[in-house]
Amino acid sequence: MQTEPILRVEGLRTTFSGDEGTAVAVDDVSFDVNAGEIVGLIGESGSGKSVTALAIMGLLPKDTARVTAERILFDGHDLVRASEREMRRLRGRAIGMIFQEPMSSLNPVLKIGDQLIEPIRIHERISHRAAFDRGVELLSKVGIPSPIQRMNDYPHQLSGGMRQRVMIAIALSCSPKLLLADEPTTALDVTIQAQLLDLLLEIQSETKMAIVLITHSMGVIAECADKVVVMYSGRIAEQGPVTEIFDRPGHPYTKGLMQCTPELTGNPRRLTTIPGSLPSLSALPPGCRFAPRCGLALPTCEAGRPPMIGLRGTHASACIRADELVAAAAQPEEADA
Amino acid sequence: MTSLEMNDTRSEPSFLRRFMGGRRVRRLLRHRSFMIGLWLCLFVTVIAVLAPVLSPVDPNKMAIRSRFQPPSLDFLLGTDNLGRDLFSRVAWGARLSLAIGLGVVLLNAVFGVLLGALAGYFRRLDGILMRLSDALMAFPSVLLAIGIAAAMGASAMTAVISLAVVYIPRTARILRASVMQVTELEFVNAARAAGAGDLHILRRHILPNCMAPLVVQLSFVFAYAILSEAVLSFLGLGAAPTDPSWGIMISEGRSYIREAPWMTVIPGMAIAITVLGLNLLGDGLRDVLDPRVKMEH
Amino acid sequence: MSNAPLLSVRDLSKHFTMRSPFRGTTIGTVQAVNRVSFDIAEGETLGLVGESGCGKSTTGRLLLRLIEPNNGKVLFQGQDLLQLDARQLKKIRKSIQIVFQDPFSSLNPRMTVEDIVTEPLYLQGGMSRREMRERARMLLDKVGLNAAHITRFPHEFSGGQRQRIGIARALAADPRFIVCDEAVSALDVSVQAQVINLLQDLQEEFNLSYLFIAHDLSVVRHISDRVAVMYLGEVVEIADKNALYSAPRHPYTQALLAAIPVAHPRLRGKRARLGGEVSSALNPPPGCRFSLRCPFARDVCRQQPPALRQLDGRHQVACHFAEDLHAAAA
Repeated sequence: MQTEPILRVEGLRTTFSGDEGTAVAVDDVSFDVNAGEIVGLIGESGSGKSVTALAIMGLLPKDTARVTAERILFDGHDLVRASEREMRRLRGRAIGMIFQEPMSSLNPVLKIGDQLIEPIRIHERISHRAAFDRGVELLSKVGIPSPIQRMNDYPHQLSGGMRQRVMIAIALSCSPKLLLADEPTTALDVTIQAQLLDLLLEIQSETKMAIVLITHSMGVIAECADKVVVMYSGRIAEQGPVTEIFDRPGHPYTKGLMQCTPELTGNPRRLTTIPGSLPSLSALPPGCRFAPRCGLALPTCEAGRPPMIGLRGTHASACIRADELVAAAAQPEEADA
Repeated sequence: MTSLEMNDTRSEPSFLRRFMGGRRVRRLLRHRSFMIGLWLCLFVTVIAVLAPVLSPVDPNKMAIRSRFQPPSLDFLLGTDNLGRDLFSRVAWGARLSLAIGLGVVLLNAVFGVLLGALAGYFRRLDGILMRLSDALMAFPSVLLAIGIAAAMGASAMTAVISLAVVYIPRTARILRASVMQVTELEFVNAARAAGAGDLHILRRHILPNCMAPLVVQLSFVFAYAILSEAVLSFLGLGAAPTDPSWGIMISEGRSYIREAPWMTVIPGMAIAITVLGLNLLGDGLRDVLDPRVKMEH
Repeated sequence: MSNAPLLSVRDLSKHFTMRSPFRGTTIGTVQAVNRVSFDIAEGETLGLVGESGCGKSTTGRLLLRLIEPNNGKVLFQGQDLLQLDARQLKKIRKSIQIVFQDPFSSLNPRMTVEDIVTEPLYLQGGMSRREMRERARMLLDKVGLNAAHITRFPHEFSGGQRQRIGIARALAADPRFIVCDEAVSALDVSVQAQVINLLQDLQEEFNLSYLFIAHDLSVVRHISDRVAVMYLGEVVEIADKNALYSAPRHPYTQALLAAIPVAHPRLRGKRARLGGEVSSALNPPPGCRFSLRCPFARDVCRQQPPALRQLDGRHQVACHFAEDLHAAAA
């Protein structure tokens, strides 16, 4: 896929100011999303992954949040410099978004059908009748049984999984080129999560839209993503193709994340852990933000911000010892083969 | 773990932090309308407390020769139809108003908390207590206060009791709502799992977490009590006619509103300043302590 | 593990009656927990998994009588907890504790860490203030927190640290048995692993038994000795964890395991997915509760509820066709 990326984020920075002073939630984040690609944005709470998505969409509250970037290029538009009117035209039509909470992202007093038809009619001049038919088609596409009846239901009449399907249908209603999915399966049970991930993959392979999938679960990444962006404490720790990241993690944080998720094979007595906890945004370490928790940290790690080091292909890591890590990971792999 | 714990520089929790958390105090101090309200209330309180010192003459001392004096250097806020010094009367009136307001607030705090906690925690009592409060709240509040006051005979004590009866159901309702909310929280279950009884849970876990909406509510009750007391006194159902009450002063000034408008305007302003101060104070408290709950009227 | 179990649950049930909000007439009964039975031995961890609404949390709370059961027996060291009066119950509470899911709502924000951790001791009585403080320091140290922080308030700690405070509180009165109700579910992965290790270390040191309630199957597999799977208020399968994860016998367990995301992108591939959604526990179907979603359901499944029965070894399953399914899989 050597095309021009559909989304190019460069130097995204987001600060929040409040009573307690200012906090940098996202600090110099850059990544590309190619057409037809699923990019997994993974990180723990406070890593800035959701803020990144909201910043791209221009949905952060204007009074407390400040978004700057060299550019956020989407399909020929620079989203940082776009006017609110331009953004409104893009949102929902060219860029769709689904959120974590299937309970609160639908309006409880409006019928499913109305919430589905509304975005279609905002962006396209078609009759109510035509929009309704499109809505029914979309509902059946996202696997909702008896879609015509469901158009007249209210959100509370549907289960969490069904509501999330409706959200996906709404996001798909204008065939967007890019879908931002912010923890779309986190609030759901495993069997429902599996159904929804299958659905997203199916739709993606059919429509070839690009997806940015935000999650905290390595499993979801392993299941869906083509490319991974690992975020820690507002910065990118590592990014690269998914198999690269899983086979040869180039950042100790990524490696730690994978090790501390219990596996379904083997019987280790203890889990490997990452010591300590995430730094608070008001007391960030000066150098590498992971350094205080890192077993491999050198004195230089605490001194200054580590640069992104290019590894094999598009794989890059913000760790000065990335080469060592990758080399160490490669050995047992070859021994296996 | 230990290396990453927060820096150990903070000292033992001070009383203020224990009471409401240092962050909140700082936010309050930066809240503009709260600070204006606080200064207004302090101003009125100082005048009330220092009334015996501040007032140049006895508030009930009549001086027929200096009747209807407009505000001047001799009489700071003028005199009334009997030559009584209005500054002294307003200052002493502040005492009375604040005392009545405080009485109503205290009764509200005690009975509102008691009834609210019972209704919110023991769901069996809820039906009865809330229907009772519905019945009381169905009357327009001033009318109810007038009714009670008329039945009991006019006095400052009557004003306190009748206003307390009017506002207790409202306070109880707010407390009940927050008790119900806090009861759902997991630490209540934790206490129960540790062997705690109902009384312990209410006293130690639930009520301390309901204080924020209560404090906000009480600040508004204070304001309404002062306003309603003025109404009762104006109608002759509050303080005794000889007491320097703001309501009575307005009522007396009414007959001379053309000749001596200050007789009405001055106590009116006193009420306005006090009520405004308390409301600003309450708004600030609500913003900082309890942003979710809005006052039920 | 001795022979007599520390805790034995028999036919535990909790039914809620739903009433119409207007007429007060009964609409139906929600069988939140229906005839649940299991044993937990001393020093053992029983994992309890299932999807939301399956009654696993309610089961945990029934054991502690935080919710009063309608029916059944909870034998703890031979004593039926459901028969105890308030005074006896208070006494036994120190032996049975609980750690909650939400690290925020489970600690009283107005109390210092010291007050939170020593509350069970205070309630049980018999300790001076100084002794309690000493014990609180010791407990904080045990759960990996700085003992000097006992004068702080919960909001000064991170989620993982707060969960440690909750664990210290559960340990305070020297319990034998702890219900971990989604105790690590709300934590970030990197912190979750720390808390899981802590729970295991404490179990070893104090010979604790756990009922580990969670929806994350890999976490449950890691920490448990045996695992019970619940569906719509009923236990459908109990087995040693290796047996359950390598050879699940109930179609629901099979579906749950198939739904876990893969561990590595190279393992991707189409797997059999369970269709449909958990049906409502209000007026469940007369037969097997899973029959509505079960790909193998036959007529008998829709009419007759399968009982939990013993297969080989300690493997128990509630399915009419467990053997057939197993043979078909092999």
